[in-house]
Amino acid sequence: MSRAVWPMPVSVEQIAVVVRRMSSEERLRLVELVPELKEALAPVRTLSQAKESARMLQEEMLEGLGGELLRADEAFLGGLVLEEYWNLPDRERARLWTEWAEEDWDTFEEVDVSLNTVPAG
Amino acid sequence: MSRSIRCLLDKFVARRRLEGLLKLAEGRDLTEEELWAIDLLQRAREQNIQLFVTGGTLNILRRLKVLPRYSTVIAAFLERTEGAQPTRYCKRWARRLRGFGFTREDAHILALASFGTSQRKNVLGMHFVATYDQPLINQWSLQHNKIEERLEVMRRDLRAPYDQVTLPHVLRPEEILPSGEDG
Repeated sequence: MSRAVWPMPVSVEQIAVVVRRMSSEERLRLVELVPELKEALAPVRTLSQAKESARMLQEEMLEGLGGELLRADEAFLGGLVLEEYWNLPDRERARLWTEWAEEDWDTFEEVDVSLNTVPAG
Repeated sequence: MSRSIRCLLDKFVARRRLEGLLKLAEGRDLTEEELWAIDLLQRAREQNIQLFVTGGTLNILRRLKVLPRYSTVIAAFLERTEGAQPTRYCKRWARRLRGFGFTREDAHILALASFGTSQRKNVLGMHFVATYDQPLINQWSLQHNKIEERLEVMRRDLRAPYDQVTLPHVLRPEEILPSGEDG
């Protein structure tokens, strides 16, 4: 059984402009009228799936670690042990990460790819 | 690898992923962001996604490699993951993106997602950028049409295959949906 396809009288971009001008109440009303929007915006994965992924990965890593977990006093980067690293505020951990990464956004080298390289898209 | 979906992890997602792996190896509980970053690896296995990180993340792994107890964590991090190499025109596109108000670092990440390649140099550009930076996601989304127009102007002057580069989707890790899935 085929479904009739109605041409869009306005573009998605035009609809987006209208939505941006709406108040919060109007946007909530829109979601009530178009419940499909909720489905489109829902996370692709559930948290329970993510927890299961973590559990499986932990099992695999434990095997690699010979069944022995890393210790809290295990030496880590920057002269810290793991426990000390976790005790730092997240902002400080981010700062250390930037320092350790030594990312170079100015003088990096660009490489060339061949004509038959597959572009994304 | 050329047919797989390609996803570039920004610095923050890469950090969450490594911290999540360290916590798993230590038996600690993970935060929600760490769980999603870890889940991306499982999804990469199941859905043929190739993950990429920046050179800075690789530098951190190199430092960590000196400590042998972390070899398992590093191996887990590098599964289906490699460093993205900037291609020709990456710097030029990053400069154009800065004109849209992106920070220096964000502009380079976004430019690398269009003008970046694998270690084998057999692909060009990424389909997704995974980030937890909501202001970046919003800014990208709001200015997307103008950025696309700017890229189109730049593409006209480029030779193949650079004249076919595209813009990535910029999303949170849990929202990334490889095309072709029903969802």
